Parts: sequence; structure tokens; C-alpha cells
Amino acid sequence: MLKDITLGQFFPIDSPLHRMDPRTKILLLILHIVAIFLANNTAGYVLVTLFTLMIMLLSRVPLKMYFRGLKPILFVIIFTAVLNIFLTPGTKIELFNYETPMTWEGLVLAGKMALRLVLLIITSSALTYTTSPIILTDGIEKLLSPFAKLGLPTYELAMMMSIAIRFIPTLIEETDKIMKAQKARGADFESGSVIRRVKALAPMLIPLFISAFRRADELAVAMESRCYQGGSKRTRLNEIHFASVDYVAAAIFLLFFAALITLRILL
Amino acid sequence: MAIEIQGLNYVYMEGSPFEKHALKDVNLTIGDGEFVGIIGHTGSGKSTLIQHLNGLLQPSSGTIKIGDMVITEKGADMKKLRQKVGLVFQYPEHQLFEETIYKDISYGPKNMGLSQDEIDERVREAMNYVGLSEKYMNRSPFELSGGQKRRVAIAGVLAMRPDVLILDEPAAGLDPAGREEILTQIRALYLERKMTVLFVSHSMEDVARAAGRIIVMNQGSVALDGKPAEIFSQAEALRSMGLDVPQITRLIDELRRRGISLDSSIYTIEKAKATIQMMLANKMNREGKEC
Repeated sequence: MLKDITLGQFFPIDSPLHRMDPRTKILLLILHIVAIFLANNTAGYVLVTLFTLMIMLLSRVPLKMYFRGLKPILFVIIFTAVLNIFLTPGTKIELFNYETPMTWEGLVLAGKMALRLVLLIITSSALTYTTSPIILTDGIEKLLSPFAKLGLPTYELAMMMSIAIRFIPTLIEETDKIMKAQKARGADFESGSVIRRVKALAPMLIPLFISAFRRADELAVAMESRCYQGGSKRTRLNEIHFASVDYVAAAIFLLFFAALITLRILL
Repeated sequence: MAIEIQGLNYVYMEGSPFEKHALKDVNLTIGDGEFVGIIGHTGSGKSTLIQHLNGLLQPSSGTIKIGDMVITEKGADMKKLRQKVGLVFQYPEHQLFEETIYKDISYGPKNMGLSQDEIDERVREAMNYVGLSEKYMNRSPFELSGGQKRRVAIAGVLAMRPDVLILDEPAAGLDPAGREEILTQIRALYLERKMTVLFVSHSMEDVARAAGRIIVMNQGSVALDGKPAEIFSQAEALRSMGLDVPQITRLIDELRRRGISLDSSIYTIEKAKATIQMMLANKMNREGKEC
């Protein structure tokens, strides 16, 4: 169960996407999301899908990983698809001479929505698979830095985010350990009614909260004892820089974006 | 209850760059009523191995038989298995969650679906085994000291009356007095309840004192298996695996090297003390001196 959580997991290999600057990747991701919603005809959808496929291949992350990342949201995709098929007004689908409540328009819309959702998840995972959490928060901090002048605590926000991201795997591990320990004492998390299952979570959640507080306290003490002070005067071991790969990527992306807009206007 | 492990393999995160072959072709037979110490370096596979024994992990390949139950088969009754095999994890006090010690210890028996009277009897018995007086019963487990919390957690497993008790580093992080107490209690429990006990540790001293048989794990395989005296006579092999012999064995070896004739199979402080005292007494007798 916990093994299926792949979103937000870094995949430590080398690829052109791994070498890109996090700022480029974040900005291009935002543009790509816009592009997914800009596509409004078959040619547009094909182009966006092919471009996403190219990103997947360029990242050199096994395609299996991307599909595993889709598993947790499969339910959402199916749920929206079903709603679309049944609730969109239009020509009714006839099956064996019977009129069903499903419509052709709904079917098409369901397909489009499902495709958009899948593409969204895949491109977002492409960012987290190819960017380590530390570099990612560095990138976000740099991107937000212009807002610091307006009083936005960018450094603190970035620090909070890095800490949160840093502790996700730790807490997953901890949850796994506690679940196992309670299972060893006969706990049953997988069967029974919804109410019983929710009740069965208490023996897991209480120790998890206690340990999260303990860790937070230990971390605060450790930072304090090393004289931690936030703020702009801190320097980094590895500064992030734009390199040629970023310019190439941006150029390719702008071409793709222009093509998409042309398709939208022409067709 | 006897344990039979055949051709056990376990691979973590198969097919990802984090893939790790944690157990490689492990074959073991542990007899009913044995007290076995499992030692090994961090990452040697000892924790992975014991988690297989009550079905928390399913092997990539191989079979495990506990008593007459094959637990690696599909559809094996995990609930029944977990009553037979009690597993105390590392730092078990981190899993306490109830308002009172009594309630926390009764969590296991309650999950077994026992009657209130039976639960009550078992909780009292378990508290008694770990040396917690009944006056603690209605106190919150979070008010206790580290060593006491750990005893509550161990009692929580004992209350299920397992036939096989597995403990993962039960003495880790305790002060010497707490350590001593826990180990003595486990030993006493073993003698009284005639359970099969598996005791995972990387402290040679603890294992040397408690176990009748030692299994040394290294890089996912069983490297050595035998009586403590046999294991600790292979100091070189142990050192190459990042382990060591107990300090007292090192002292005895050093004394032997300097020409003092001592038995090489001494690995506990008590035995060493007795032997050295006897030797000194003999020496003084021979030289005709008063002690």
C-alpha cells in the first residue's frame, strides 16, 4: 500500500532533464499545464500527448514508474469519467436497440478529461522524478525571491517546505513500522466496515503524531545548537545556474507552445 | 514450536534503482524451546528475517513452516500465526498509544477476541512477567521512564501468550541497569514458559550471556551458526563481518597469548571470574600462601 506512493519521489539517475535548472523545469511545467488545457482539437491533443511522451523518454525514468504513480489517482479518473459519460447532455448511446443514459458527447468529454488528468500527473511526476527535493526548494525560493521585497518570507517558506519534504519518507517509514508493530499485536487495518477501519487507525495515528512531535523537537534543538539563523545572508554549497540545456529546453518548449496555439487558431 | 526456513529470498523494491537483495537463500531450522541469538552488522538482514516469521513480510521465494503451519502459502491464517509468534520490535515503546497501561497491554488480547476475564488475567500475568507492579495499571504509559515504557510494550506482546517470542534489540538505548533487568526477565520468562526465543542484537555480551545458540548473519546470508563457544572462537571471521567477540573473550585470549593456561571457551564475565579465581586460589595453595 505505502509502496505505491511515488509522487514526490526523486529518481537518482542522469538525464538531460536531471541536468536542467529547477527554475526552468518549474516554469516549463506551469506552461505545460496551460498547454494541456489549451489543446481543444484532435491535432492539439495528439501534439500534447506526443510532447509529454517525449518528456517521459528524455527523463530516462522507467515508464513503469510513471504508471505506478497513476495508480493512486485511478479512482478519481474513473469517477470523473463515469460522471461525464452519464451527465453530459447530448445524443444517447444505443446498445442492443435500448437507449442507455450514456451520451456520445459524454464519452468524448470523459476521454478528454481522463487524458488531461493523466498528462497532468505524468508531467508533474516528471518534475519530481528528475529533481531532488533540495534542489526543487532552492528553485522555488529563487523564483519567489522577487516577492521578498514585498515582505513575503520566501526563505522561511522554502525552509519549511524542505523540512516537510525531507520528512515525508521518514514518516512513511515510521508509519510502516508502527503498522507492522500493531499488526504483530493482531491489529486489522484491512477488513471490516468503514467505521471499524477508521477506529483501527487510532493505534497507528497516535504513535505517529507523538513521534512527529518528538522529531520536530529534536530537529529544532539540533538547528538551534548549530546556531541556525535564517535569512538572506546564508550561502549555499551548490548554487544553481542556468546552462545550455536550459536554453535548448526553453527553445524547444516555446516552439511546441507556438505550434499548439497555431493549431488552436487554425483548426 | 519449531521453525523451519527453506530457501528464503527477499528482494526490497524489486525493479527500481533502490533494489536490494536483503535475504539470500536462508536455510534454518530452529527447534522447539531453543534460545537463539541472532547477530549481524547493520543491514545484514536480521530484521528482515524476523519480520518474515510472523508474516509481516512475504518472501520473494522460499518457504517457512512454524509448528505445522506453512505460513508462506496463500491464504495462511495470519491472525492465528500472530498469536503464536510474538514479535517485539526495536524501540517498542514508540508504539504505545492508549490512555492507560492496562488498556495498552490488553490491545493484543482484545484483537484476539478473548473474553474480558481472560484479558484481565493475561494483562496481570504479563505485567507480572516484566516486573511492573499492579499499581501502575491505571497510569498513562507516557508518564513512565524509557525502561518502564519498554516493559509495558513487551508485556503487550506477552499478553498474547505466544509460543515463539522474537525480540529485536530489546535492550537498545537503555542504561546498564535497565539492560540488565530486561535481559534477566527475558531469560527467566524463557525458563518458566518454555517458549522458543529469538533474540536479535548486535551486542556480543548480551547474546553471549543469554543464548544457547548463535546465528551470525552477514550480507543477507547465514554466515555462522553454532554454540556460543564455537562462534566466539572464530574471532577473525567475526571481525571480517564487522563484528567482534565479547570483551571478556578478548581478555582471555590475551592472557592465553601471554602463557596463562585458560579454557578458550570462556565468553561470560561470570565464568571468567570463577575460572580466574579458582586458578589464583590453586596457585596460592601451591605456593603455600594464605589468601
